[in-house]
Amino acid sequence: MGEYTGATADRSAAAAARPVAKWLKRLGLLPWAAPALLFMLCFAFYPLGYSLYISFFNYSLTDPTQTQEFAGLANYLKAFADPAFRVAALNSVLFVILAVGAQTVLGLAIAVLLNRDRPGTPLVRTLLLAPLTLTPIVVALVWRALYNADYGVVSYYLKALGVNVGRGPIGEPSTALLALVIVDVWQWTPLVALMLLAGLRSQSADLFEAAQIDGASGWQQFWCVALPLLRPILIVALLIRTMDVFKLFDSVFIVTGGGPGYATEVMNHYIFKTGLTFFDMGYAAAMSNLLLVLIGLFTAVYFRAIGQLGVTQ
Amino acid sequence: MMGRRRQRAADAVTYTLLALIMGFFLFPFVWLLSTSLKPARDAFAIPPVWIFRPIMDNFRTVFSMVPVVAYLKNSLTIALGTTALSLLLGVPAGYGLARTASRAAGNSALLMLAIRMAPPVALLIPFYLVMRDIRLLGTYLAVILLQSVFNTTFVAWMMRGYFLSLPADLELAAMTDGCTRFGAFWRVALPLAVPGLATAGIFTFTFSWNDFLLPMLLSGRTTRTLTLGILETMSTYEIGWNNMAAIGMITILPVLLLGYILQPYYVRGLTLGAVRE
Amino acid sequence: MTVWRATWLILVVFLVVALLPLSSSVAQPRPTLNLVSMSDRFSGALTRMAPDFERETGIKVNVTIQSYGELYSRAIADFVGRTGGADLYTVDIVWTGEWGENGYLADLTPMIQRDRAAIAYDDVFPAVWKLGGWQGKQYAFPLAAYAGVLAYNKKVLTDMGIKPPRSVPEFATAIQKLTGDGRYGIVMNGARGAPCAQDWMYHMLIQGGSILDKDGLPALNSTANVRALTFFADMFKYAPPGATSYAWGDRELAFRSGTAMMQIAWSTGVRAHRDPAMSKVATISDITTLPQAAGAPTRYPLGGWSIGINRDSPNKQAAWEFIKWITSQRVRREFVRLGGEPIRRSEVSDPTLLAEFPWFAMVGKSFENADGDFRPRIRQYPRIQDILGLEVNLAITGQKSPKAALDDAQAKAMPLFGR
Repeated sequence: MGEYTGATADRSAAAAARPVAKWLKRLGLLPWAAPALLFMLCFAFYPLGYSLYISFFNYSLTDPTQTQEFAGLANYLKAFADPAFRVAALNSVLFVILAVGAQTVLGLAIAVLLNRDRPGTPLVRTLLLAPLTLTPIVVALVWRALYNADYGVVSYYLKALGVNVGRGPIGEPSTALLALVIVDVWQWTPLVALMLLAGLRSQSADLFEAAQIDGASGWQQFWCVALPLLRPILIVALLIRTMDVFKLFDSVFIVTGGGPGYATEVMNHYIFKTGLTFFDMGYAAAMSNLLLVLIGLFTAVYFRAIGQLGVTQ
Repeated sequence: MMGRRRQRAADAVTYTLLALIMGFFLFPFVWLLSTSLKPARDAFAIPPVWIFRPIMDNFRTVFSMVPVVAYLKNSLTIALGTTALSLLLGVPAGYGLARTASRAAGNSALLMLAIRMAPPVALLIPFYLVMRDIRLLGTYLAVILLQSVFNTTFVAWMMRGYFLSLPADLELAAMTDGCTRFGAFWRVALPLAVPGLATAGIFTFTFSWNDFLLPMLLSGRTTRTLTLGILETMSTYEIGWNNMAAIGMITILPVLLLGYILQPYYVRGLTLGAVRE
Repeated sequence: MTVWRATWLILVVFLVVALLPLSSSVAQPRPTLNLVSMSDRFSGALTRMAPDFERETGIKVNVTIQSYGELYSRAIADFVGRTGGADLYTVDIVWTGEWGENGYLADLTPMIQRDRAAIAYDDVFPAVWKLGGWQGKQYAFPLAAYAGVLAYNKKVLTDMGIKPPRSVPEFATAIQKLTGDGRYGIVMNGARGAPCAQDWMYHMLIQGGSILDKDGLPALNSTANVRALTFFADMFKYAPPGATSYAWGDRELAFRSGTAMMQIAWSTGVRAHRDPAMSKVATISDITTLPQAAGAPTRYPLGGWSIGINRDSPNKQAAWEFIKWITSQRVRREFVRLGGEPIRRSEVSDPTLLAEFPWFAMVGKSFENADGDFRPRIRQYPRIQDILGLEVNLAITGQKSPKAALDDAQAKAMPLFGR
């Protein structure tokens, strides 16, 4: 692992140049992170602790008596038994798989297309930034208008192509989730594409020449040389996107409200409703902690992947 | 000869694909822009009207409905404040984590990440009560502080990756020449990390600018942001799509401009920061 | 170096700017009132009239406009956190019970009794006092009352020889007859959540159903309610195909664009129907009172907004002065013209207003038999609405039968009442 050589050399150099107390040396430059850590603990510690604490209580903010009744694990058990929460959890996982999967495939394709300099590609690269900068609320509103079965542009052109749109992309229970996935893919594929593009650009040309000499075709070069080298960056992109897709809220809130039926109910939307519309603080906190665990699980899987990669390199 | 023909075919395929992709990514944008320039009753004309005489009425209406200039100023203050604070805390943290090889450094980085993972909804009410108790409710600072909690992690992780990709030798050389540790960071490492800084900066700015949930509960009468203003233009009863489109265009312009100016750094910064876990 | 200096400068600037509001919030000799208003049509009128009030009394009123969800979340946080963030709140009729019972709002009853003559108490429609009135006390003053009316495309109905329906069977026949040739007989909200729950409740009311029984317990799966949901679900066949995911804005658009011939809607939307800049039916639409089920007492839906004083407001006296002023006969005409909705009998019979808003006569008629409790104004209402929002949506998208949907809704609602 090349990353740590700098730090090792740095430590020995520092030791040679001006000897300091041993514990300080072992700490290295960690104190540089202290202000940030302190700041985050300062402002995140209480809310996080409160959220953990209140999740063991029955507490409704709008209850005039403001009683907090100890409930043990009841809120967590309630979540597991709550059909709405179970559907929301399933939808969230499904959403992550579909959205992050599509963003990876599409992002990779765009990166490969843009990697070779042709006239016009810089312009495309600039224009790709547009979806990234749009406020998510506006994005959701725009797509809501586009999807409208009777006045929406998307439905209009689908109908013109002879597609039976039925109640419209967001009106049919079978397509509603997919319609929201497309919104997410629209907004965030450019991020993945730009990250992968930058990754491709940083790969040295020598490797590909060597592969070409060995008789590898274009596809073989891509699969056997470029893609493995891209894996670390790919995993970072997946990590960022997974964390944020689990926290998806705006498009569900504005476009479908979780409907039709349960079709687009996702965890963060359900938590928002419970916490900030019904003010059922204990239950909202418990579900939010479960979501945190779920995100943590996914993150751990990615970290494992990174760890293994580190060994092979 | 064969080669040239194949090349040309490949170009044709590439450009067709690029055109399709651009169509997909740009048409919602074009819809937004055109809606902002249309009279209200034409917004949902069937079949859709793409060529028309633009009018500025919607922008005028929005300016009379919502204190756009004040909100713009508030959004700018909050976004700049968050960016400044996040960079101030996150950049040295990233550097420290990159140049320390201990287990403690790895754990600190993970701790930061865990805070970034937390869904903000359940934290909002306690945040609100804390801000009330330190008498910051309704100030810019309340929003800035809490946005920075989430964004400092992002900056620290990004910069950690970026500094890891820079060789430490240069800093060591500077230190043997008599530079302090801080001097080496300041004069050697930081200038090399400008693309990373620009990337982290613009992302933090965008996250803060587009944030809706934190300002919704924590901002006050004089510190409301443009994202809140967008929803002010529409009652549940009458969605003024044209006005929404107009204020939507106003909202995205500054970010778009910033993104365009910083684009050369942005793409470069995105990689180097991200390559190392 | 310049980067460093720029960063430092930005930091200093934002700190100064951020701390400014703190120093200016120190008590002032003449109170300044903070009013938070829902972003409905009337909010523009409040903003524009606040300076008039300041000219007359020297009391400044800052109006902040918020969207529905933001207003509710913020208000609750303000009340529970006891932060006194705003002196005056606009209050949705369905929040009355929760906000009154929990003591979030100052009780206005004594002031209203004291100033009964000055505020021309009897001029306000009796039913309209439900806006802010709860269990014998008045926690907020009516500000803008909405009547649930039937809006219809007068030209098409006349051309086809169809009279505005007076009964449920006539309603069904008219809807079916009007559908065809790219036209739809009716349009309704079908989107999950408040949109479909509230539109179904109109139908529940005209079919003689109710949310609660005589004892105040949920009766969601009553025969009348199941009949209403069956009717409601059936009528989506005659509505634009996308209607199952419509909310208010979409429904109004379908009516204004001339595709849907009828809709049950709040009277506050009529101004947009008649606005040629927004509507293709500007000169050819009209409203009438809702059709009624045979044999049931006449009940028309009432909704809208009142204005109340935060119990933690330090400026209660000044706030009451403002409420008295904005609801007084003297300024109501101007308020209504700028976007407010009537609350008084004198407003719906005012010739000047009638010349500009001829449909006010019909609105007044609706107010005389209005039922402000068809959406029960109790603490549990948001939950009930959410349950119905899901189950009604499942029924209209064909995922559950109306009976099964309402049975499930009933089973979910009972625990909210401790049963």
